[in-house]
Amino acid sequence: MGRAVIELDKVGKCYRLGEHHGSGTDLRETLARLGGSMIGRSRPSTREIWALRDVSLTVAEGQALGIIGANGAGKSTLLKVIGGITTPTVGRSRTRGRVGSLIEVGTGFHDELTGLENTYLNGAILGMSRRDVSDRLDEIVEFAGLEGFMETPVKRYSSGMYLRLGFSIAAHMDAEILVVDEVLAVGDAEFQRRCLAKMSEIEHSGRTILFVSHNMDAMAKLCQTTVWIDRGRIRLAGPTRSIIDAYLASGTTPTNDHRFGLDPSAAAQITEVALVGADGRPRSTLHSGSSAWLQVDLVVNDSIPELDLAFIVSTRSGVDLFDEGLADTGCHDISTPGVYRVRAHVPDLLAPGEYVISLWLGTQLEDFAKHEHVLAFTVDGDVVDRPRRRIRLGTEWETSQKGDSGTTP
Amino acid sequence: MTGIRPSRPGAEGVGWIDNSASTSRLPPLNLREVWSNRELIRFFAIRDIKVRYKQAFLGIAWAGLRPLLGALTFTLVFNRIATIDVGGRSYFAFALVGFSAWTYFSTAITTGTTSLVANADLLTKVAFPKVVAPASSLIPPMIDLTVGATLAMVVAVAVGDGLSAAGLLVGLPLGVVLLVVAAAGPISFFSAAVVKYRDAAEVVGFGLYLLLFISPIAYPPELLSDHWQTILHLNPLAGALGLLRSGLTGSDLPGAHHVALSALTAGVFFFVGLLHFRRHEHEFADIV
Repeated sequence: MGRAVIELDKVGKCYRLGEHHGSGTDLRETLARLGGSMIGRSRPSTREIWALRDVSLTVAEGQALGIIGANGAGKSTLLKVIGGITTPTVGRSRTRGRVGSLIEVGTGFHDELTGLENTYLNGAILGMSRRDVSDRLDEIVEFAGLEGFMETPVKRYSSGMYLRLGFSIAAHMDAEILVVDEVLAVGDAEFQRRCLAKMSEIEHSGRTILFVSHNMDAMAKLCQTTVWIDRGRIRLAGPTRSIIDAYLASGTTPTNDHRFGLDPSAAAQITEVALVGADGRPRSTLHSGSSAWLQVDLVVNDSIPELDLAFIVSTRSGVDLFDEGLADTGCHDISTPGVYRVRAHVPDLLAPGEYVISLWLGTQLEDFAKHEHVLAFTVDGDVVDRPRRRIRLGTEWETSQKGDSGTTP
Repeated sequence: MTGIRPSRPGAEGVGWIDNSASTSRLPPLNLREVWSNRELIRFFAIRDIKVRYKQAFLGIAWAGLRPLLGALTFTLVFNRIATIDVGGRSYFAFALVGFSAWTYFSTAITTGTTSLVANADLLTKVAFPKVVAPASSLIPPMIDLTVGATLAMVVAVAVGDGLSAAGLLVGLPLGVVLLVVAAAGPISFFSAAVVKYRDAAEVVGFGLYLLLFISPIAYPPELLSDHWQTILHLNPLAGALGLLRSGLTGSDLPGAHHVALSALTAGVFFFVGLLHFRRHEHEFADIV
């Protein structure tokens, strides 16, 4: 094993909610608070959230380290501390060599600029010089498969092209440490395959990779070692396979009913979600042939044209199966302010097994809520029977006898 | 400071880099960070320039039209109606400098103030030197300033006022530096303030509105008594405008004590502004 390139010593990261989290506050609120405290009124309580606590970690050069954990467990915060995007509140975090962060592909792209202009801009943001980018331009363009499109403004790109370019630029920067957060949650299967191939190539070149994903299969392929983060702390660390098994078996991951904290300043948000049976009761196990509904409660505070709600059903190992949106049906009933309950029928197509549901609320321009893997449920039945089956289609079969055996037609 | 990325190429791979928040009340101003990231600053500036002119019908012609129309209005109102005299020289050239410098100053401060929140996605997702965003907002309005300044020189020569060597060699460069430093101070301060308090941008808008009246843009400082001229030069724009006019319209160089006073105020604002920025930059990603 090589020398250490990342060292975290009892790192903690504290966020203050209520005071100034999310969107900025205004002066009036602060003045009012100051005034209140001066005349002896107590300040409104500010909640402290420790996103990370007491995390100690050493990563050696050339190692690919996976990080798993439920949503809100602190995975992204950990990457942001290691990547230098935010500083730890307590403890010490240090790195050796350049850290390249791939937290969100295409961050910093400007719609009006061409693919080429954005490549140079994005490269510069990621710490590459103009010459670095020029030297690698052909490789970047080729990997992204965008030959002939580099003079087109990226606003005319499809979302796939946009992603490919973003990933390609980041993958070609020469950072000694590459931090990758859930890039595989987007893009088609072919793109995901290429991303994974590129990452293992990077790993083989002796660089260090930190990889966060809900895709357990990809994690098992790429990383020898994995850390499981649970409520801001390291719960378990070790060989990837055993950590994944322990994580999936733990059941600390999603439930069948989930309430979200209410943020009064949000334009639109999901307040509660549950998987319910025909009787309206929460369910965590579905039986083949019985009907189930995904029930989502929303609060919409502003008028948001084209507001859409979608749910994604994935297998426990991270393979997405459906992505169904309310607007697919032409319905825009949730665009005006109000409190809504939306119910979506979960089609009775799933083969026996364990599944998770993710939710998204937003428009083409903006995401208002994104909740990965908030609900988990089981479809009962015998899994051993058809280990590869995810969907039961009830395909129509036809047979006809074309002759007697022994006679050749 | 949060710079986990060594800003100089060649520094990589040697030793450990600590990612820790500065807790000092007097952190280093780290002007070197600005210089070593000049390429990124230039990229940001080019992006903003390209985006601004990309889908504009008149494109770059705006840079010339704005000061011309502005100075024409000034001439009509202050020179023809209010009959303000600028020592027998062309009022139109005088107003062109005033209008162009003001446009530079107010545009740089307005865009600079919101430069960090406009790049909020970068702040929260990429480790990059944050000072780059406000610093880059000083560059795009240079285009308008250059065009306006050239027009002023053309007018000054055309009407026979002529140009002075001292003004061109001393007044012009000093004037540009003073103008940029005068803008950089408030930009550093307010870009950081807006991350925490969005309505700090309102303060900036109103402040600029008031400053317009106490800056010698449409009137010469000589209109005031000696005593009031000195007070006027506490405004860094007064010194910058005097220096720029000596270079662009051939007027006399402003008094050294006036320039020194303006430079002192600009310097103090710059120091305080950048200090405020450095004290808060480690929390930008958490609160933006």
